[in-house]
Amino acid sequence: MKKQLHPPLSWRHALRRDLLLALLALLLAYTLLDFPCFTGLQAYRALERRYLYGPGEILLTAQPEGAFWSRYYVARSGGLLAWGGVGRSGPLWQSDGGAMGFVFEDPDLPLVPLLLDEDFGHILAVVSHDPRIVRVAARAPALLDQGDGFHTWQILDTESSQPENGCFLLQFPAGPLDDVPMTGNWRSRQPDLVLLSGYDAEDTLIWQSPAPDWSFYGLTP
Amino acid sequence: MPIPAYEEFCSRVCAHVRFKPARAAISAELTAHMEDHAAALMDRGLSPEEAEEQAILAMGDAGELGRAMDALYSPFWGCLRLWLHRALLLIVVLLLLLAAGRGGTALEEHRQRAAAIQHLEGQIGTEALSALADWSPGPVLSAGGYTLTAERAVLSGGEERTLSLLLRVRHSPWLRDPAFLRSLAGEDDLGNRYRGWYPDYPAFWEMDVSSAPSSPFSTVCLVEIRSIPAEASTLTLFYDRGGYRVSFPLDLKGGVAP
Amino acid sequence: MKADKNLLSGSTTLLVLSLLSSGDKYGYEMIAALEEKSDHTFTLKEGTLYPILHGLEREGAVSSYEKEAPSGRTRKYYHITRTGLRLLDSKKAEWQSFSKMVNAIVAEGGGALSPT
Repeated sequence: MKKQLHPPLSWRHALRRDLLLALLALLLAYTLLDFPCFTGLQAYRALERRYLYGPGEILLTAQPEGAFWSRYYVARSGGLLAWGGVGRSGPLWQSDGGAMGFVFEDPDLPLVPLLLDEDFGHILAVVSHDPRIVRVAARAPALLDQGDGFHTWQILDTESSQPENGCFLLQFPAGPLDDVPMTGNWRSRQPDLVLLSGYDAEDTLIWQSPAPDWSFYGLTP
Repeated sequence: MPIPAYEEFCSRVCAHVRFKPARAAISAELTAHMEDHAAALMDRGLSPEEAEEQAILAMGDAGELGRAMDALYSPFWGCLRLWLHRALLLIVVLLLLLAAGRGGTALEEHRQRAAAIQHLEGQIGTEALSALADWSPGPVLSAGGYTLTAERAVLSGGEERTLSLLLRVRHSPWLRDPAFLRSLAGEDDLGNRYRGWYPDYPAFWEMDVSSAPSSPFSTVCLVEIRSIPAEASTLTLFYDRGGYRVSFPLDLKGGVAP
Repeated sequence: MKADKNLLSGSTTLLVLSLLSSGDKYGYEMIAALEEKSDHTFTLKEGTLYPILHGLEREGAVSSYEKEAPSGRTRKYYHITRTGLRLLDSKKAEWQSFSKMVNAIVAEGGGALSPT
């Protein structure tokens, strides 16, 4: 009689064996993929924890074009406003990397800006404390690639009238390789080179940030 | 040696078993049974041919038996489970191959990490050569899923001192790359502040934090604080994010002289 | 049980499980043991034994393994599991209540030799 090399297992054993195999496969895949997060939110919460922050109350979530990070979050916790950028790898999200910035949320300031991405997406988030403000405009110096080898510093405008939880997202219409300097202080990353203006429904100017110094660029705000 | 009559009977039975992988086992078992039966009959005096014939007859109708077996081995579920199992095996093999392939880069990363840690340890070792104190403070802080241990502290210098601290941070794989380390600042009991990257204080660079690349479970970094007055007796390292602060003190006087 | 009820006649299952409860056996061994115990009056139909064994294995009432038989050849041995022992108990109870009922009816049917 032929001796069988693989005696047929009863279906119960086969099921158990297959489940263990599946579990092994999942664990192996998870480690190989570098312990990913399954959602962007999960990645952001991990990011918060790596900065010993929060968990924050999320005001805004955005995936702007041309930006460095795959998704940005703006949150509030413990008197601080925070922005966080997380990266995507395929359908999953990275649990390391990413970046966060914090700014003290001054309740006396009608508009508090956060610099999300200066070099690539030229993106700014502005949290409003004045419910009258329905439109926020931003103005910054920009060196744009004209395409004919000619560059000059000029004034660039952008605005937003669609806030989320009192947070406006503003993106300057410039390419990733254009220069839109928004901060003069690279350590604090405060967008002190941006002129912010808040308008109400009747287009009346409610508040404007202190005029920035653009003399270096040969411009006046 | 296989007896053709038994083989013929088994093939008639198995013709009704739609799930082909089960046929071999069924044939084997039935053949074994007929062999045993024939052996018993031969013991009672029958000739091999008669015993063979009787054993086959005793099994009953091949068709009935075959249909009974077929009812137990559904081809759909059987094949499905078989292919699922094969697919799983393939996936595991592919993953193992991938792991082996990545093993190369993983090994290289591990080597780089080990080299970076060695470099940091070397730096603190150099400081230790002219040290006033060289000690291991031990576990210093636990916060937010991170456990910090000061593996080695070296105090060197004269009027103005330098404290070098080798910190090991333990964490889970999802918390690797502890970002708060980059924003550590220092404060001594005389009121002097030391900071590297912390944005709110004046621009003095008296502090450096260099980290080796993280492994899934630990990160090693070297913290150097310079220009500490000789009179200072405690240095507190802290992470302050406006409203939230974690810190741990280091005793500058109590350190062990080398 | 999922298999054809005509095949898994309650008494045959009961016999198979009982035979296995006294020790692991392979197919032909069970038939020989039964013939011996019943003094050759009872015989398990070989044609129904294997479907029953495979069906019981599927249900988890028996498990199987390969072993060398005393004759020297390798045989597939069957072993009764705890599930099988519980099934045996319930089949025994079923059989006992069935036979009690039959006896009762037969006794009622009259006749000089009716048991009490």
